[in-house]
Amino acid sequence: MWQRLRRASFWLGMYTAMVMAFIIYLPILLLIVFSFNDSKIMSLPWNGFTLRWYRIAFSREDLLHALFNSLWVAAVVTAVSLVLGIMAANGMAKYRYRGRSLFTGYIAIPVVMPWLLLGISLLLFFNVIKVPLSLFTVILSHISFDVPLVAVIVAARLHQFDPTLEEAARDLGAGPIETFRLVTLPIIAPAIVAAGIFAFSWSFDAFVVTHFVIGSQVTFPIWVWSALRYPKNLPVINAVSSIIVVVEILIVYLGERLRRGEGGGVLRSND
Amino acid sequence: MSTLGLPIPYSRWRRTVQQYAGLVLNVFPPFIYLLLFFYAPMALLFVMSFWKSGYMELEPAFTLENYRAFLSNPTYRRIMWNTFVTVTGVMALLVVVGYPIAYFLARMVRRYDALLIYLLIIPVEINYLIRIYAWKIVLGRSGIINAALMYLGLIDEPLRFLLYSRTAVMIVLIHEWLPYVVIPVYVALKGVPQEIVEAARDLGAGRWDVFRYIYLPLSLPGLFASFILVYIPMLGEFAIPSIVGGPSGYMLGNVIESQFLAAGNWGLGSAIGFLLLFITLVLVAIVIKVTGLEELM
Repeated sequence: MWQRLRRASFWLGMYTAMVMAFIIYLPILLLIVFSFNDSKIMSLPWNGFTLRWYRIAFSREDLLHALFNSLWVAAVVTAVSLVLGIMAANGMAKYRYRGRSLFTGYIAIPVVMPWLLLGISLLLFFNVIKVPLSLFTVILSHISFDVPLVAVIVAARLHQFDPTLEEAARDLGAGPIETFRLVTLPIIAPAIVAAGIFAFSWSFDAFVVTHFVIGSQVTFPIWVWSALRYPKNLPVINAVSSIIVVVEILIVYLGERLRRGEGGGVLRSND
Repeated sequence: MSTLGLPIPYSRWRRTVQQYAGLVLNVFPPFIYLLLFFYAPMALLFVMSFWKSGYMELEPAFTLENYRAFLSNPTYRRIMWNTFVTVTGVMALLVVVGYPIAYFLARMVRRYDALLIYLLIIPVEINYLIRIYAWKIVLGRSGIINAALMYLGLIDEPLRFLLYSRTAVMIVLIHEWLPYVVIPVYVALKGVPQEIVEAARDLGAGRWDVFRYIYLPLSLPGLFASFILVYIPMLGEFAIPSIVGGPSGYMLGNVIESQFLAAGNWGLGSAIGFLLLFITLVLVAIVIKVTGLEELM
């Protein structure tokens, strides 16, 4: 019996490793490897190591401009989404009232809506209210999918939060704002930082919605989308993508640590 | 409130008022924002799907022409059918491929399951277009798979069906959505109390019985959650088929995208979009009703 169990777990482990390696990681690793290949086409044979594509990437002004646009759009979107998302999370998890589950559904539905539908409906909407498409409409659109994301992450943390802690603070004479700042905030801080990181990366990477509401401006995903049509760009895309992959892995690592609440120490060491 | 029969003190009363004020202040801004920038546009999509279409604009005159144009066109019908077949097939494959992984992570890994889940999450956060494009290096005519098969002498000519085909779309969809299937099922299986399993074992249940009567039913909520998270967004996919799909991988999402950004027939695009939205909502409602998922939320 014991041996059979061990055998099953061994084979399932092998299977999991194979799927992770070939279906999840293979293309990403190859992308990074080929960004160092000294060849205009991204395929075998290996033509030798080069940093040429990285040099070219850093000298492309259209690319740097697109990256810069994505960064500041994501920064604005993250700031606004955090404020609205934390409010929504409070409405979902902190108060007890009739209609709470309705409100939860109202906030959470955008998470499962296909982004294509959000993109086309926002395009129609901006057209009807006569707002010309620009990075401003991109920001408005990103906020509407980032607020639910932040709300869901923060509400999950609030659900674990003991409400009597707040009541105790109130009984001891703290006002509502003091209570939030001194009791609630430190407890949900890791979730907020994690939500901020995920909201930033969703906005930074958002292609589908952006594609419909950006007009003639360019963000990084839009740059990639148009660059994909020209084969001569492909090695440059490889190089840029590799840098972004590495940065994103670091950011997500940080976000995950904080979401799991292990980052309390990191936050505390700062004050 | 006043457990001792004493009158409610003023401070308590004031706090109740503050609670209500807090509730309203918290609920109102996100409510309004999503009403403006999510629900109103969605409603507009519905309304405009009945409007007469000009080039890149719509005229407020009621018509069913957009729906008729879509449903009477055999090419569109074929693409719609293909989309559902592809997405349903991928969903089935995702469950078959993902369930054993979720089971392994939840019930067979002792210490490192959180790390392995993290390894599953990382790629999801890497730019979506970059990952789709990366598959070209694997599947292309001179890609890794063809190079390896030719090197081994198994084939003389590169396999052409690997890229720019429905096969490619399905492979990349599996890559894209596998974590969203594994993680909810993993969470559900992880929550199965060990005592139940041991009790069943003590009462003589074999491993298959334990799976059939304990793990499988208790993991169903996770499976339904992953269905909502995965099946519906997949129906609206258009970047994957445009990058790796070729003509045979064309999906409904491509039709909608081209109606909005290339053909300029917004009425038709809205009608197809709304049909997709409608199917989406019906599917969610069915899943929630059948499974009683609302109790879990």
